[in-house]
Amino acid sequence: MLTGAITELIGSVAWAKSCDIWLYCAVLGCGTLAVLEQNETGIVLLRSFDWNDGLFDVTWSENNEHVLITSSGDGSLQIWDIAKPKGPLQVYKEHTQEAYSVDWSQTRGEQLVVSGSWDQTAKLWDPAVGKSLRTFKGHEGVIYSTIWSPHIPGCFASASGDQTLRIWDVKAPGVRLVIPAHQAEILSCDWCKYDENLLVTGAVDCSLKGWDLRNVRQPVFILLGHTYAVRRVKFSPFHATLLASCSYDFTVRFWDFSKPNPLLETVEHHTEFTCGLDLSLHKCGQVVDCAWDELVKIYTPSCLAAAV
Amino acid sequence: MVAPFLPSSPRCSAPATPSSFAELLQLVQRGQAPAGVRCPNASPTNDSPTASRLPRPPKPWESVLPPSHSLPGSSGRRGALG
Repeated sequence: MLTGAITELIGSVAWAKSCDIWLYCAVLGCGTLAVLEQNETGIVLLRSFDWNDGLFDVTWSENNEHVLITSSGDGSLQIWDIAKPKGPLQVYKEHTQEAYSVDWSQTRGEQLVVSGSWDQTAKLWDPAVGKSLRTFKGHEGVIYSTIWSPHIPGCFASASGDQTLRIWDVKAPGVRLVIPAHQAEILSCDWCKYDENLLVTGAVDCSLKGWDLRNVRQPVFILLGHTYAVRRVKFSPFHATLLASCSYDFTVRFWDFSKPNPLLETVEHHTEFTCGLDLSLHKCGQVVDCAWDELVKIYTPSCLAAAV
Repeated sequence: MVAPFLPSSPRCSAPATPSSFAELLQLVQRGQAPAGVRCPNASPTNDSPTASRLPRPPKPWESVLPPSHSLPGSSGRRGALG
């Protein structure tokens, strides 16, 4: 396990997607974007950028190992280049409240970014264009998470304080599907990497639920164990039925929803709200997480090291 | 290995750190910056991104599943979105 300390609250963390030579991850403090590199000596700070307001989410480019985008408390998105320390390349300000979520599409053949905001809208962006391409309205509460499908081009999911999970298609004007997934605010969602119809939601009711888009009348699984709100959920990039979650109960948990006892492992190495979590696309089983105790941790839990 | 990444020194000059929330509130109401508040004043450079030198690596699932999918029901069959 590698541990690094950031001297301020940490909001989110993300492994770089487009390069597998250096293992970068980006971490957000209150207004600071820190790009960390893992080398033989441990975790080192490669670059640090400051923004004028708090940063809530970060996503790496799919086609350029230098580029990442953050979303900010002032509603704007910032495009950063880790080789250019002077400041953000571009700033896109359209959301009228906090931009809580940002995601860069992983399907080939498109360079699209989606942002989700407390102004209850999601917006579609081409990073090379200064204005949003489309605004998606319909949620009746704040949006906490907007995540692209890894398989269906132009399709993304959103999780909201209005207790619904919604599925959108950038080619269609309105929402495609509304799933009343919880009776509590939904803070996070993610798509299964090996079943294009399967998603997971994590909510303030402490549960994770699985949803099959072909039949959303009831969840296909419910994972119980967290004792406070689930802050982030991530399906494994390497395993069809494994996923991870982090929570305000300070823990990170790993699950296999195909097993009768799905909770595989509970990691309790933080002393504050655990709010950031990402699974590496390049090193099977490697996890980075972060918490309000100002610590970033990189590790491979034994349950993921064992699973092949 | 644990190391601090970011300096915690304040960027704006200010008097002593407020010792209570009430004192912090008074400072803010008077328009004064409490100690520890940073004012980065970042703005876009309008620069172009550094050219990429690396090919996009494949995702772990891309070798397993065939490409090109669509939402259930979008091909005309009645399904979840029909």
